[in-house]
Amino acid sequence: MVLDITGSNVSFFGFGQSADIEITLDGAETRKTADIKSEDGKKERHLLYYDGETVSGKADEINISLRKAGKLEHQGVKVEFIGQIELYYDRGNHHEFTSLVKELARPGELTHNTVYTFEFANVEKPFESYTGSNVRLRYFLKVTIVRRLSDIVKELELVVHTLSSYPDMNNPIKMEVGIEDCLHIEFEYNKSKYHLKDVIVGKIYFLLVRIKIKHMEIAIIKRETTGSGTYWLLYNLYYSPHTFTENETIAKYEIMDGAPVRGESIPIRVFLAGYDLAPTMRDINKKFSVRYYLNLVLMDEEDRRYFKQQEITLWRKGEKSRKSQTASPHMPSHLVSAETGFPQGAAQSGPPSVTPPVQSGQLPSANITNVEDAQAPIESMTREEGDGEGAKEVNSESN
Amino acid sequence: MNKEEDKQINVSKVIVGDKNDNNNSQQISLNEVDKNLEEELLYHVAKSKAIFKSQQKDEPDLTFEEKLVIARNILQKSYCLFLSKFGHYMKKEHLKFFAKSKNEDYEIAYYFNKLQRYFNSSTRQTDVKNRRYQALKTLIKEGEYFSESEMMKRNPLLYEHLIGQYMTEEQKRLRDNIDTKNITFVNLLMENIERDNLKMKQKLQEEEEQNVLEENDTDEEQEIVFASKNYGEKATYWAIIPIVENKVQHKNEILKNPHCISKSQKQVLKQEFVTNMYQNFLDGKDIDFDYSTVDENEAYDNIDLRTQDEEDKYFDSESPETIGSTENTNEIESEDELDIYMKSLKPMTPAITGVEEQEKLLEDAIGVVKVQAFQMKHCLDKSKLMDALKHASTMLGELRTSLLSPKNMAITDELRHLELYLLDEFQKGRKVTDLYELVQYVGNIVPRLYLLITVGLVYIKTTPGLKRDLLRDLVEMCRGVQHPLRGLFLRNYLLQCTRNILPDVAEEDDEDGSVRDSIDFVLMNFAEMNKLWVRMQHQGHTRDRERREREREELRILVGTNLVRLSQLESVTLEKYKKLVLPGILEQVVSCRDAIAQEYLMECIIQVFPDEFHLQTLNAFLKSCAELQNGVNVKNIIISLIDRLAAFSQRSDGVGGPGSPNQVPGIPQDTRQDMPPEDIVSLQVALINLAHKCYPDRVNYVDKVLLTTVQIFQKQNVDKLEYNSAVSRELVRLMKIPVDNYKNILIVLKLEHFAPLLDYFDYEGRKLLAIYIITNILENETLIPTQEQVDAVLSMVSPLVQDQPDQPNIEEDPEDFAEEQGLLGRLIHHFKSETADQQYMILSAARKHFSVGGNKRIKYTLPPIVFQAYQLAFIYKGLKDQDEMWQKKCQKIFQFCHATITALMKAELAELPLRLFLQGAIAIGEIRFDNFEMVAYEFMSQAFSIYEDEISDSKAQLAAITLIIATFEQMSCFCEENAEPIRNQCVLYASKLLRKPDQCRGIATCSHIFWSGKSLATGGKEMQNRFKVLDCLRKGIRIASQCMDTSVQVQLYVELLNHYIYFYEKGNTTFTVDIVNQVIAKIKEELPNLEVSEETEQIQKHLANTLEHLRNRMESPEADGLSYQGLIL
Repeated sequence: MVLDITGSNVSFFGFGQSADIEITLDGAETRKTADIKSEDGKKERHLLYYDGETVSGKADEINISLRKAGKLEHQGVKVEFIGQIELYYDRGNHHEFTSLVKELARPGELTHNTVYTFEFANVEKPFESYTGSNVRLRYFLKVTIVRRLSDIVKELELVVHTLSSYPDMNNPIKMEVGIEDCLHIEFEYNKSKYHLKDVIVGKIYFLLVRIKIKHMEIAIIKRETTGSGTYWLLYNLYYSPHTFTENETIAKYEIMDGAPVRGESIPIRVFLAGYDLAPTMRDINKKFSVRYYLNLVLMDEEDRRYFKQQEITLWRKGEKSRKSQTASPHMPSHLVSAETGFPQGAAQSGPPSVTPPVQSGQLPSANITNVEDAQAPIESMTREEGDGEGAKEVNSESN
Repeated sequence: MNKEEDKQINVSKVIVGDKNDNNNSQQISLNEVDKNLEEELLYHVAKSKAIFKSQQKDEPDLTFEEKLVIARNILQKSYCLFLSKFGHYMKKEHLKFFAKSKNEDYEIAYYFNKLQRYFNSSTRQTDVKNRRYQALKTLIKEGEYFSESEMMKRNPLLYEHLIGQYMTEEQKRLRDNIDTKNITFVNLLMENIERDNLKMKQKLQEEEEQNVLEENDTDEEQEIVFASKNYGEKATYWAIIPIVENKVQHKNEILKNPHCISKSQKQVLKQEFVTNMYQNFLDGKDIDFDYSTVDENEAYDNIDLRTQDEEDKYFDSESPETIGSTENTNEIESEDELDIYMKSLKPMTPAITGVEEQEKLLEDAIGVVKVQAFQMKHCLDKSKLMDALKHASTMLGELRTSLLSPKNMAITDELRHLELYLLDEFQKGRKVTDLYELVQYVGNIVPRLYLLITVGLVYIKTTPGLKRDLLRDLVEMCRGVQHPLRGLFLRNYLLQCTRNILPDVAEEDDEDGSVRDSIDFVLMNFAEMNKLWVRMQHQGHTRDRERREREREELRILVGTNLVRLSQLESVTLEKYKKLVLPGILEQVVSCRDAIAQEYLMECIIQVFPDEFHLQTLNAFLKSCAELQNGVNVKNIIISLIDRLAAFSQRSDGVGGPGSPNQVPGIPQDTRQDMPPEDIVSLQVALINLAHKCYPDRVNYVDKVLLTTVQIFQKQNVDKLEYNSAVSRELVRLMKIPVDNYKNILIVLKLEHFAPLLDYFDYEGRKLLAIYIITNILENETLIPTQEQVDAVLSMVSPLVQDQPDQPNIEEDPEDFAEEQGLLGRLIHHFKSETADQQYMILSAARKHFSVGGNKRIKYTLPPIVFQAYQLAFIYKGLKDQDEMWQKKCQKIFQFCHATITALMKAELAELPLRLFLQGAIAIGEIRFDNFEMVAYEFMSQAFSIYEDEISDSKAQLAAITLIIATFEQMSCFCEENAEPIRNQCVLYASKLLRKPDQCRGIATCSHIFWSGKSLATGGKEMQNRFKVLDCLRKGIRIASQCMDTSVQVQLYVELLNHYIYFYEKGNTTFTVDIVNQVIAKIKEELPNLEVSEETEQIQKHLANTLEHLRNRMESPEADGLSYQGLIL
């Protein structure tokens, strides 16, 4: 595959000598590509590399001015492999976490088109390419013809995906939450770690319903935290000028319509493949983090919202193409009953009840945030604080 | 170059190739007006700046004519292409030209709508604004255009005012510092030139401002405000900063001491600057910026937003025609279908709330559905599956409102269309799995599930191996809809869809799933639907309860359909039904604890499943019945069950019948205890019907039912059932059934517990039943042949037979009483045995019963017995050859009769015993057993003594004596010795009557004894004592003559005349014509003296008739008869 970005470097006055550089990577025809959003939100498609893969290719120079001037003087030609983090609010500084340089040519003159080959063997690519709202992590190859006044530079973006293996521990998320004498639910997501094409399967079991619920939805929230801090400061946006937290709702997914009664269990099944997700990134190079949360929101008839956030970890599985994946008989993952840990009976076993629930014993946990005022925006909850003893108790019981 | 042009045309040919025919035909149909319009349009376009073809730099511009030709060609080729190319250069009026064809072609419609928007200036403005805003956002993101330095370049004065002057030198240097990284000479140069420009610009602006300032001559505060107004038209942007009030103060400070403001203040000022710049951009004041690139650029359209807006507008407007096409997303070409799909999916929208008029909403909704359905189909036709799905989901979004009931919508039909298409598609080998996943990305649950079901169905059809899992999955996922109405319809849709694909094979190993899966599936769906249905009851205000219940009634069929589906599974054997189906249903029914549901569902169970199943599962079913809610009418349920069983057993000609008959009477015990007694009894009614119908010849089953009824009463300590109470009424129904059904009291008598049950009634009730029973006997002419049965029957009807201890003291209506007793009397005639002895026993038994009936009753009941006894005596007489004892028996009978009559006598009834005695005497006279004369004499003498003792009224006396005389005249069983005193007695009594006319008539009657009376002495012949006769008549004449009243006298004479004539004609020789003549003369003498009255008339008539008779006789004398010679008329 040949990428030709024209006009990247054009002489202003026409008297200088100029050259077009073309970078061709080995195996570009067969290598997979992946989309990544550029800074302006447009999707671009670039070659895809994984950690440890060799990046090699040729740098081709087509010197336009050679036609006229016949030669191009330079102070040397080099190729760099750069991985950098750009913080949008700090444009001047790019944090390069990887930077490899290969000298291609000594200072001299170019008189004709020249092809240089280069190879970065087994490059370590520790992080995944990422474009967020405040931060961008990118890898690119940069070929520079060093000159006296202005260098001729050519960059080629690469996309890197980091692959993870199946996590050792992947416990289901199971929790009982509620507001005293008002709403008690137990929810369960089948895993705490999902790969990007995974399916979230779970269920909500209503233990006590004294409010008129209108509907329930699950939102996938991406929380991008950028900042210089080496630790997490979620609420200090206004105090620390260098830490920014950006919440983005990736998907909203209605999972229930109408008001359930005590004893109902509502299935959850959310396919992740369709959403624009990246793996969870924790404290990447001490610059930023991207985390994902499942936000379970219940809306009552007075438009009050009750919600509970749970962090989930997303990871990228050693990927075959989606097509081939679905072709494999993994069919049961579509179905509630087959792959999940939930026995079919569990859903049914709930005592069906019609009478308005009369609950005597109050459950210990009261974790759902109820924003009383409909106008007030939802306050995001910190998981650290919100979990409380109640939830832990329940967890210890259920596990 | 030419090549290029050709290519372009070729391309357009390819694109529109198949549409040419279509367009040509359109062209032909154009009329003249259109032609003109077309010409005008083309000229207009040709004059415009539109790009007609790509040209190289050096080529000469196209001439007007060339342009015209090109435009015309394109127009003729395809409207579509034309619109897309030149649409923006047309005038609004020209659009009309395309209006016609817009309906025919989808693409044209698309462009048409787009251009309409374009030409509609208000929407155009909105579009422009939106696009600029979008562009602004992009530019901000990109950072270049709105970077600080760039902005500074554009508006240096404002920058200086708000920011620049507060900057420290260092900051300024930093800002002005040229990117030293890429430092080149050229860059440096350029940068400097630009900076010079900047300074000049700032100066210019400063001057400008100075001018204005001079004019206004205001203080500093105003100056700031003014400046802000100058550059940002909307002052509101100032207001967004919370510290406006402080600002004024700051300003003063600032101006005095420009470099001493705080960091936050700087921030605020910077904010102002940026906002101003943004606003300028939006208002189109950035002169350097080429706005046309933004304003015309559709890429900046916020599609989601606009769709949303358009939809909103649609909902607001009355007429659905104004909706614009929302087909904006189709053009984006990308390899990843999923991405497009995800993009095109509507974001999750909040549920529609608010109470607007239902009808309008419905109308709107239907409108949307139609539009979306149309588009869906359109996309399907074009094989744009993703778009079709999108439209389907939008369409289904309409189902989310809670105000409409989905039954009004034809959405499911539309989905059927989708399903068919998909099925077709996937049989060609597409992947369903992807689609199954795909539809689950729809954000709203209701449309999602409808689609899921639709696709799931296709999936199942193409991949039968997964049927089991898929079914389970679908039914499980549907849990997400907890809104009762929507949930019900969703699940109903599910049920409908899966109707034909439920596995219905018995084998367990079949991978396509077995009937067991179907059962699970339907049962689960049923349970959920039922829950939803029940829940409706508990939602909303209590005052709406009635309406809710009505709604529920309407919806119940949806729930019931589940059961129907179960019953339609052919592989559900009895075994499976017993083990899986029924327990599942019953568990749900019982646990839902809702009366309406329970009643309906139980009824459903009864109706939809075959009778054979019911027979085998009676126990389970009944057990559940016992657990139902209080409000449930268990009675009706069980009754309908029983009725069904009964009907079944009749249909199947006795093949069936409950497997173990013991179950039948067992039913009531199984049912609940707290049921009101009347319901229990009505159950028993049903049971008894069942027992009767199933086993018509097994009386004991019926009896067992009765027994249990008795037991129930005992258990409940019921003593007496008040008449007309509910229980009583039911029990009456119960009791009547055997009577009615058997139509034979004898069988009823076999029911041991019939009578005991009767005792639970109070008097009224028992009487009613007694009457009913008797009527039944009479109607069916049942003969009761044994003494025991008679006993039983009579004790059953005892309220009629005798006084009851609990009888109320109210006087009964005599007529009713008479009627009742009359029935009893008739009943007696049905006590008929075949053997005489038995009959005798019956009678004596009956008499025993009746004799305690009291004086009121015996007058009705004993006479029939007496007559029966007389008949019996005759029977014995007929049997005298076979029965040697007959005479004795007869005597016994008459003794029995005598005693019976005496009983009547004691009741102070006069006439009746008299008659009975006389009747008895006649009977005796005819039967002539041993000693008959004496018995007869006794009877006669009894009659006389009654006459003497009891009858005092003169008229009654006359009647009685006449009767006695007549009886005696008939009898021939006395010897002279006995006859003589009786005769004399008769004459004596006759002459002793009080009134003369009575005496006269009595004597005259007596005369017959002497003529036609018979005795043993005469050997059965008439005695014909003519002298005595003559005496009697003479005496009669004499008495008559004594009468004071002439009219009575004459009447008597006439009567006597008749007697005379009678005897004369009979050949009484002592009578002569003379005597007759005398009488006639006498009459004639008196007659004229009579006053004219009715009586007189009668007398005259009587006389005239008599004379006529005589005249006849005279004229045609009989051969041997006496002649009336000498008669003077």
